[in-house]
Amino acid sequence: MSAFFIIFISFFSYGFPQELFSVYEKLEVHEFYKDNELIKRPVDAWQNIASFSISNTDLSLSRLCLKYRPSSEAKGIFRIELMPLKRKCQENGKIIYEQDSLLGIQFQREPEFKITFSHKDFSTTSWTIKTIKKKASLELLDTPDKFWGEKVLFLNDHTDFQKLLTDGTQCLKVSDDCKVEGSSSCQQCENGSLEAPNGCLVGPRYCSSAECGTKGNPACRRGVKFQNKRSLDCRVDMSFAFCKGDSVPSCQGLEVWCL
Amino acid sequence: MKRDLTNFSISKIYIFLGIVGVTGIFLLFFIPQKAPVVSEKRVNRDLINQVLHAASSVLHGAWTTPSVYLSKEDCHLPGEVGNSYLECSAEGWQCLWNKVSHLDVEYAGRKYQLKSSGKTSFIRREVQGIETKTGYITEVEIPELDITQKVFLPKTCHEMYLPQRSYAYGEVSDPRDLGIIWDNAGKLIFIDKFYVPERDVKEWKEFLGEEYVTQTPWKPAKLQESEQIRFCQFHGKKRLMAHFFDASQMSPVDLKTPFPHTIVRPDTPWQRDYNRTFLASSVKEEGFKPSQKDCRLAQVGGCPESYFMSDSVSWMGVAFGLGFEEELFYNPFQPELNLKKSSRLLPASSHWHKLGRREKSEEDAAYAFRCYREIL
Repeated sequence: MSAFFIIFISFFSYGFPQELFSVYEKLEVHEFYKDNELIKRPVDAWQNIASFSISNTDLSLSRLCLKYRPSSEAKGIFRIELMPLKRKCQENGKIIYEQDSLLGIQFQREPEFKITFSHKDFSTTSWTIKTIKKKASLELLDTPDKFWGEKVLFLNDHTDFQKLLTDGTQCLKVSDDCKVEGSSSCQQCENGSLEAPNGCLVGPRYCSSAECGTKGNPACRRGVKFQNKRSLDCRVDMSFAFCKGDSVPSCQGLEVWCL
Repeated sequence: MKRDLTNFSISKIYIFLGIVGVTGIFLLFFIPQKAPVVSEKRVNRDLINQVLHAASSVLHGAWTTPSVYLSKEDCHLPGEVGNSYLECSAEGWQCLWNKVSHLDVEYAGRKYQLKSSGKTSFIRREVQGIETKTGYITEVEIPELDITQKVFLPKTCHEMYLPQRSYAYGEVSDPRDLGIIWDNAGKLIFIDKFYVPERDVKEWKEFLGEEYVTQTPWKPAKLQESEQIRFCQFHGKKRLMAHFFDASQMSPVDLKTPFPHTIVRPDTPWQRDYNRTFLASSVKEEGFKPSQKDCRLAQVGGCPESYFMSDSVSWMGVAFGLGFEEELFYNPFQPELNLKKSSRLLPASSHWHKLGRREKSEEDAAYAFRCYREIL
């Protein structure tokens, strides 16, 4: 009976939540605090310390939010909430872990995210949160997992139901002056994606099951460096893109599509 | 009176001792405290995390190169099938765990045993999530820590990176002619190292609830064009384009100059001077028979069949540039030239055994193929 009670207490007071075994990527860390600075204020206000994505059994990702509410006495509360990836930590998620009676917490960002808890008896405990995804630059004979940083992944039993992107959805936005706006969501397309060449090194992309250069679809890209040209404006010269067979390249804005 | 007082004091002492005893027992068992058992449990949860992450590289090694632990004979594969067939595959994984009882994982000076039944289930991501679209799910166990953990094994180890450079497409009638030049600057293109095997098509068909029977899962699958498109799409890829294939096979003159002014088109992936190849010798020598070494570079007429062998890989790691199978491509530059004729169906002396040389495929015929993917 007593042993069960002690294990029960330990699980909820000190346990490292199982979800943290499958942490995929570090998403955000509180900008304000320096590494290893004891967080004791503002009192009685919840703060988002950091958020991570975790990999689920259906290969979806969920968001874990690490939150802390400092207190004037040793009554600080640390909490981990689980929510769908697209939601923000400012919202309330499902509480999967809570620890109270804390004097304060501190964290360090590198090499791995480490969080240290100061308890009311002045003892400390800490967790190291290891992320699976570690990107590296590509070299000859490399495979995609090296770029993605995805090798073998540990999974947990959660799921997320955000649907894949259908054909026609723009999954990468690039401005006319070649600035990539936001991040690519092309890996979330249901049937792959195609670039619409616009003379930039990286052009805008659309979810598409078609092959490039076919009628009604983006042109195939021929490249932007092989000619050493100054102008890569399709209204002047469309040689950086081409269409298949009898389909004809045409400027749609600055993008080349095949008609 | 005196005796009564004494009796009263003694009974008070008994009551007092009783209360103290009960309180002591209560405090001992029911007040949460930092007893060794508590901290041991806390250490275990942290330890599991550390050991699991140490196990990650052991798992990755076993998944991508099982031949470190076993030989293909252990997996009852015929001699003509190369070790690569077992890499990143459910068969390789099962075969590994039939052979070994455990793999060692070292963490903080201690060895832990990593175990698995070897069973896997194929999965395709049907919702938004991680980068990879297809792979396998398995379970591993670490008995010392009393845990079982679900693991995803990605199917990415046979996709080779095409470096960002200028490349030549197809053939030119005059070597001084520049022909069609293109570049993939800013693009991350990955090309299948081997042909899509029957095993992968079976897996795909079964996922879709369709039937596909094969007794030779290592052989290149032969599908019609529309099926090839669907197969590649299923894995988040596109059908391989002819100019990407040429780029993967024509070795650059200078790897350090990615965007040169002129680009040479070699005729073979493994010898710049065609006249020094066995293909050229076969034209001159009557009754020429390709040697074992020749057949490893390009399986032509008279060669024994082999599959998933890496001897013919090009400068960037893609196999089967010449010979082996007739291969169908998507060719947006010249749609009518979509078939690599060079194959084991033709003798070494055939004029078709040259890079960039293609002809029109037969309509509705089934051919070997591969896919590529571009990532961002």
